[in-house]
Amino acid sequence: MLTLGSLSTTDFRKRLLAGLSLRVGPFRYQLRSDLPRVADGLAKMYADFPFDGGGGFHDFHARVGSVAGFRRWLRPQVNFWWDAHQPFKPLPASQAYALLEWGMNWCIASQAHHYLLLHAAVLECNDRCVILPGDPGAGKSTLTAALMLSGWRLLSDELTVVDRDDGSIEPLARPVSLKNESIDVIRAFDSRAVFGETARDTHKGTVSHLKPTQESVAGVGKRGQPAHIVFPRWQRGAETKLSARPKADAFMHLANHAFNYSLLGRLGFELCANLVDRCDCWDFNYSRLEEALRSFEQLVA
Amino acid sequence: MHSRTPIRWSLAVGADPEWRRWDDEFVVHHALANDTHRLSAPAGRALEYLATVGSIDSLDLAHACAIGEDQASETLTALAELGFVEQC
Repeated sequence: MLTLGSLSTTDFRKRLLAGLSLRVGPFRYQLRSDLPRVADGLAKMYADFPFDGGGGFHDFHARVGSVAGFRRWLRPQVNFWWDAHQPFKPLPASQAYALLEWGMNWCIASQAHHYLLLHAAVLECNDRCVILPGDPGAGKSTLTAALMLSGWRLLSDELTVVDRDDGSIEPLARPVSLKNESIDVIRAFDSRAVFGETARDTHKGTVSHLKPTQESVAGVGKRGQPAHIVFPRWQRGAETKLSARPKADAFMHLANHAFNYSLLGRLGFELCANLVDRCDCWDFNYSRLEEALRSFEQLVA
Repeated sequence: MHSRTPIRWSLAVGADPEWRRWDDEFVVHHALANDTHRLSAPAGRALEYLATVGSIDSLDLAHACAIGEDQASETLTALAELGFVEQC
């Protein structure tokens, strides 16, 4: 199979300029950019994704490009376009690749209402998925990265895409967004981890994306079956502790972490409730990654 | 002197509640308001009971849930404030 990583830098940039097709799970993007740092970031992060000829229907047409005007000579800025719309304010050019990733998330979160969309990571081991909803700073992405690098299949870091018909989870296997101290924690955790360009001074602090493992990308056609919902909380010095969380409480938290719970109305309630019904729900406190991984292994043993 | 007649309650028009029960906790969706609430056991059981029998008063609920009549009355009033029940 021809992958995006097999394209030369020149060819990749040329294709991105004209419109590069990228299939991410059930979604197909047509991405455009004339910015080398976006092309290079994409080529590195999505190297294992299949090369897609480019014709046919695309769910999302997105572009990251420079913002015109006098300012571009002093402090160049970039923006994200979805069709003709600009949902975000311009950002410094150094954040171009991160902006593309955020924009790609936004496309799904704001449009794909034929799914229940949760703000949660999801990984799989032994054919059992663990969903990790997390408030910012809870250590969700750090845990996600470490689990993935330890052999778990990454389905998603930011968006859990739940099928409306059978409650299964659509894999996306897109890069993991790491912030601030987590970047060095994961670099130290596994020297094989492949990172993209580091964007500093973003609204989330310092951000760098971690390339998904080949196994995760290869498994993108296989939906996952949810088995656990774990609410992680990283706290310096905390003992590793997994404790059952009442399902009603888990439900309310999950609904609050859904992008389209209210929009789906009664269906959103039913989908969330079905998900909670079929999963065990847990609170998870941790500070040491190695211990955390052992707990997760026991969970899906 | 006159005897007090307990207020009778029924499910509010349009509420069309759907709930899930886990242990002694309920989450309930209000169709018209598109709101979701986490309810205590007596409140959830009141909805279950109402869906079965059509209308109840605080004595019925107190008896069904083995709680005091005052608590039953407060529960029904709270459900009315959330728009799940109304006076018959």
